[in-house]
Amino acid sequence: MLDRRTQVHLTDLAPRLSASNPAFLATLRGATQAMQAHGASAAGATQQAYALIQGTVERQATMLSYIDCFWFLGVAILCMVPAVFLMKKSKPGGGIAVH
Amino acid sequence: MSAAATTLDQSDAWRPAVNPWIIALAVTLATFMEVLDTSIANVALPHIAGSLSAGQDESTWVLTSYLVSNAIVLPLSGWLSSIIGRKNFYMGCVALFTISSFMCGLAPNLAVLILCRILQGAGGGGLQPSEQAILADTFPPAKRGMAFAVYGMAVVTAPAIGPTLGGWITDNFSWRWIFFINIPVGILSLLLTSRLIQDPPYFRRRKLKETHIDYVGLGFVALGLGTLQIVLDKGQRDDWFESNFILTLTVISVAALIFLVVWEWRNKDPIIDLHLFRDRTFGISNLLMFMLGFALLGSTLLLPLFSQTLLGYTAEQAGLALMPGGFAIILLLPLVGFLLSRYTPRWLLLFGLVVLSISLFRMTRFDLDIDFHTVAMARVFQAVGMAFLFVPINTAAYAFLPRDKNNAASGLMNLARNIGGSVGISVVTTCSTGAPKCI
Repeated sequence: MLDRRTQVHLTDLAPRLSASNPAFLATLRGATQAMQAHGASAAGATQQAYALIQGTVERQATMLSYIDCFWFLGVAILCMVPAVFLMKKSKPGGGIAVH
Repeated sequence: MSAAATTLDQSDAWRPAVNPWIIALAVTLATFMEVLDTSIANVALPHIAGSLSAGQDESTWVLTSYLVSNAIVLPLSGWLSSIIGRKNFYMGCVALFTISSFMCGLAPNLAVLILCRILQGAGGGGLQPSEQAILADTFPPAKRGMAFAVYGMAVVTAPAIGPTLGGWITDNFSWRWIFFINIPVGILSLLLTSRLIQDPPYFRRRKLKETHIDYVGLGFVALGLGTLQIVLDKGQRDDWFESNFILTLTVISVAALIFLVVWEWRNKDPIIDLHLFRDRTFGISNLLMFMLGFALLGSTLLLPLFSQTLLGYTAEQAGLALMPGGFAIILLLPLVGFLLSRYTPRWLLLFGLVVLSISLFRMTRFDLDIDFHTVAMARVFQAVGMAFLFVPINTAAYAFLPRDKNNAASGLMNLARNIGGSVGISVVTTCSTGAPKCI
């Protein structure tokens, strides 16, 4: 589930990393400048910036898949609530009415 | 109903000779060691594979083999103890577990290790339900809550401690010591049990000649549950139904289990007493136990995996994050045991389910910047829910059963938790390349 959901979230997130998304372009520019400031060449800096964003996106996708798992467990437990009402009433202490 | 009531009346007069709490501690010792062993080897797997020159993939059979034999013996334990006597059966299981642990530690190659793990799992599968049945017999119904609380401490905290302890032992000593540490515990448990425990008078041992052994049932239990465990454990790794191996085993498992249910239901002297499920409360208790195992092992696996892969924790830090939750359970279980003597299990169960699901929903608000405190507190919150479920589920399960069914009932309840845990682990994660060494 973890692996599959990560793939799903990656597919969801990937289209946002396009040249038509100003936020992505701004991040890319920022990251490229940061890489250049650390001594990378102009071409190398762009590549490193892409790698950095790729890493971030993968981490976010994995995070989302963990959240899916927690959510799934929560729902599964919540579904058990009605079952409790199907139990027969027993006296406190678990004993049955024996005298 | 009246027959059941008479049984209860008679048996309630019987009390063990020694203080029941000493008995509770003596039997819980072995259970703790056994449940610990279901998860302790996981982190050591790469080391084991390395030192026995085995491949990563084939080494995972070290984990699978234990789970398989464990699941097969669990439901049979009631029947087995009715033949050889419960005390004998229990001590035999502890002895088998201890000796095979020793042999696991000495294993010269992977094949021997896997064989010893099968024996270890078989011994472990028998001692768990026997312990619970011993507790149910040793304590009067009104005090069972507290006794199950002691049992719960072992069963709920051990899976969380296992990976951390296993990692620590492997890093500082050798993976062989993971198995050797069981030896003193096993011997101590055997000594205590031989002196303290006696089978209750109403526990009638059947002569082997009187019983018509249900070989067909026996075979199908092994086939159905064995293949089920292999599918659950190996499914993710082999990409589920993409693999012919998994597909074939699934078909075999489903067919064998369906046949088993029909066969055992009609059998006059069944190996698994499925007629217990006629008691609605017992049936629901099993369902809840399954879900508890599911959520407990699922989240016990997710949280360390999450903190290690995304928050960059070491194995030790990830283990530490689970610790406060473990302490919370240990503190709360006796309280729940006490509350059970005042309130009906149904209200406590309701509270437990609601708290547990809220705690899980709260975890969906996690992000990549959360600190150690947040992770640990989320686990504490979860532990509160678990504590309010474990004991009431057990008490409710036995509430309407005649006492001489305790053994068989305990085997089924433990099986439900065990399979629930396997399903939880299987559903929630993948032990493939992305995840670090399948915790």
